[in-house]
Amino acid sequence: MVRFPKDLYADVRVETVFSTKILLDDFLLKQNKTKTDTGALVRVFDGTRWYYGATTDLARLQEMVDGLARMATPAQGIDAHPAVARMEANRGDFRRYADDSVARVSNADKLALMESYVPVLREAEGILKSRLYYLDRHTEKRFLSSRGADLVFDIQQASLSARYTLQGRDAPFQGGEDVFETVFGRLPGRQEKVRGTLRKDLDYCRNALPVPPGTYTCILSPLVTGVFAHESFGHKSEADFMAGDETMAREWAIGRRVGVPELNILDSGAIEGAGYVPFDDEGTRARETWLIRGGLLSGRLHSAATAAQLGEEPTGNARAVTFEYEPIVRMTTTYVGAGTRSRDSLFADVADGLYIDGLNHGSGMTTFTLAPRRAYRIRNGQVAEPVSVSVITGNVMKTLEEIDGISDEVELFSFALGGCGKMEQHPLPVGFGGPTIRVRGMQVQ
Amino acid sequence: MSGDATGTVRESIRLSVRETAVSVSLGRIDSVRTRRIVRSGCRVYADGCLGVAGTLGEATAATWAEAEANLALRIPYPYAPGRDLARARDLRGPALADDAFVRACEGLLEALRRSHPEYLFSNRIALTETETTLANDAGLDLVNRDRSVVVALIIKHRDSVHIFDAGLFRQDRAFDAEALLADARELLDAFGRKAVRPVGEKVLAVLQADLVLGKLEESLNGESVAKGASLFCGRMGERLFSPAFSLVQDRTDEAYHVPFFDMEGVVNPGDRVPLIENGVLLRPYSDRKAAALLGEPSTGAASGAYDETPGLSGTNLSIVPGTRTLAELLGGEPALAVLVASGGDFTPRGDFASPVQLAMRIEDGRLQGRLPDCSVRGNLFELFGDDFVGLSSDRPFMGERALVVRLAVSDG
Repeated sequence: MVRFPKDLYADVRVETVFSTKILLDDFLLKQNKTKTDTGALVRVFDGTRWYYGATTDLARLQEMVDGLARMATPAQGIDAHPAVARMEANRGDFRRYADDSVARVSNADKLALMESYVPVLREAEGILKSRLYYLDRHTEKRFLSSRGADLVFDIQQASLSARYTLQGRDAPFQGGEDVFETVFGRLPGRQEKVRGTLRKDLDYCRNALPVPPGTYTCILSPLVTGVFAHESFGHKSEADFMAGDETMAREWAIGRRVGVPELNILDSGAIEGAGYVPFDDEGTRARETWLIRGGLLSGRLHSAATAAQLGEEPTGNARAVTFEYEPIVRMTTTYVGAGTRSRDSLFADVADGLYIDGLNHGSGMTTFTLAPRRAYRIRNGQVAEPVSVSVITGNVMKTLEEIDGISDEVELFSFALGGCGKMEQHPLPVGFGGPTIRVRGMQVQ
Repeated sequence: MSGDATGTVRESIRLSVRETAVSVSLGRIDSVRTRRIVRSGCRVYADGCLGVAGTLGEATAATWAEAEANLALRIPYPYAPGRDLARARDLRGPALADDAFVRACEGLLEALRRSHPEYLFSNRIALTETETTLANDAGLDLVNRDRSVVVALIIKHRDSVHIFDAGLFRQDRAFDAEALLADARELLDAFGRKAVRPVGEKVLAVLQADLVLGKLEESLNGESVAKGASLFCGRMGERLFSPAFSLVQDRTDEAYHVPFFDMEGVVNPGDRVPLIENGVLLRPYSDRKAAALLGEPSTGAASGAYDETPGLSGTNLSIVPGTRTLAELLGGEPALAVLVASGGDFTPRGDFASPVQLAMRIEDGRLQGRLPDCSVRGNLFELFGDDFVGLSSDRPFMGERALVVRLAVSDG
């Protein structure tokens, strides 16, 4: 397919993406789009600097490889460079969804599926505006490298997403629900999930009153726990933030205590869902990485380059949002591991606190924030009245020490719309989740 | 030209991006990336419907045939496409070859390393050139060209255990190393000094407008207003905000890579539309569909991908600057400069809160020193009402005008 230049490392990633987007805007057809795009990213490395080129003109791929090679400085023995030596040379056909590809399903069938969810929205009183999306994407990636990698694999997602604006107590309220799967055939028959969320949103927005700002014990639902883990610790585990920085390397030494002894946080690209990537975008096979085990820092997320800089091994977390971008260190499916307590017992001994049930968004570096979509007061161990909260904030490291209860059941989630953002690359599909957790001393505004 | 004899109009969209970007790690370039991407869309308007298709690269006969065939999907579009208007706007500054750009980045980074050896600089600098065209056989022929340099460097003190401590973010139409070095000097000199936070129930705060414009953008969506799904329903014509506060839909050359036309080919005089004037809510922003619902002309806010039916999701909003500089707006009162604030949000009723990851004390328009982490609170109607002080006439930090409002501030 391509000739790789001498005395340089080089790889080529060709992506063929079939996608569908159908949108019913207040039940009227607004979009019905199906397309297949193909593009490629070429990387060349001379031991000092990387050179990347993105193109849609595959007929001139060799020209791009050669052009990037001319910018680089040939380096004899490049294969022995610590980053290059860590590049896996996997070979083979690892396609999983070829027989179940969403490209094999007609748009008429996809539209019919959407129509089966329309009554859920039509029957609800108080919807001011609605959008129902059907989205799918089947991405086939071919990866070749000068180290000998030659593999093809695929990833897929299919989803329905309802978004609506409701008439709230004193302001419009925006809510929604997703049904996410990796194959089309699992999407039908999930109306009750959408209906249930819609009922909760209606009750919430008609009754929620502002919560007095202050410090509260908060119980986070599995969905909120997942976003919290992603924002609070997942991003800190991405090794490109610490590579080459002696202070950070000391601060983030493996084995350091970073949370309560019951806390485990993991990342894995092998879990089916939005974060499923059997190989990353430099050909490294997916694996499970324990970021925190028993409250101790036990691992971090790597590309081959960051692994080389820190003297560790790649973890299959070099990901690019599309073929137009180079892979950088990203999460896949990140989740808090199960604890030992029942969910009910976490509520039982909270005299006054908050239950954070749903979320608009989260963010996190040193300080994390969670912007709840639905929150409820906890009074005497029971979920009580709905309350309106702008944001919940806290210092990441302090908060991980304030977790005082982890339930015994893990739920994993994938969003249909949006995704993780880092630098210029957004939105990258990721999975997340965890059990119900209880955290003391969260700042609520 | 006016379409064919059947009334069918064919319209093309072409988006071209040429970008050279360097990735920066520990103050040095560790990669160079080039992107040369063209996206083309074809639209066919007929019988009150729209057929759309798109492709990466240039449109071909097959793309047009697909758009024609997609009329069978019966996507309603009962609005007349733009017609009989030709205009080209070229906002590109001096050209910069890729190798010259990389050398300029190396020079900037070397100067930063030399001037501020105790700090580590990372992330990205990009030179981006865009060309957006929208043309049809009814006489529409619109072209917008732009080129900018975006410096987005995150800064970390060598001894810091934070992922980053501050940021140097600046967008210009030319590579202005001197301005960047001046920005870095003022920022990092102040970063190295500790200061005392101004006190009061509400303190003067200096922010970038983007931090608090999101709720206005959501609430001024014409479709939401028409359907009763906005805070501003039934309030057009009312004075809701400060007489000093005016807001426009902005497609002027103040905005980077924002074409002077929308995705439905609507162009406005002066490339701007007043939405709030002297505190009075005039109109929401709209595309043709929302305009029809509102019974008003479109403001030219249609957005959407090159291969989709146009729609209304948001638009570029700008606060109209006043006549006073930042120093004049502050009037000798010490203020809180919000330099990094991530993760804030509004509640449905408009209450706002955000953590501030980097705050500094500012006096007479100059940064004085770093403050401990804090949180800020306000409310939409107060932020742009009694608490609104103004948008500066000058560009005191990183090429941006400064928004001055009063906010409640608390620890942590």
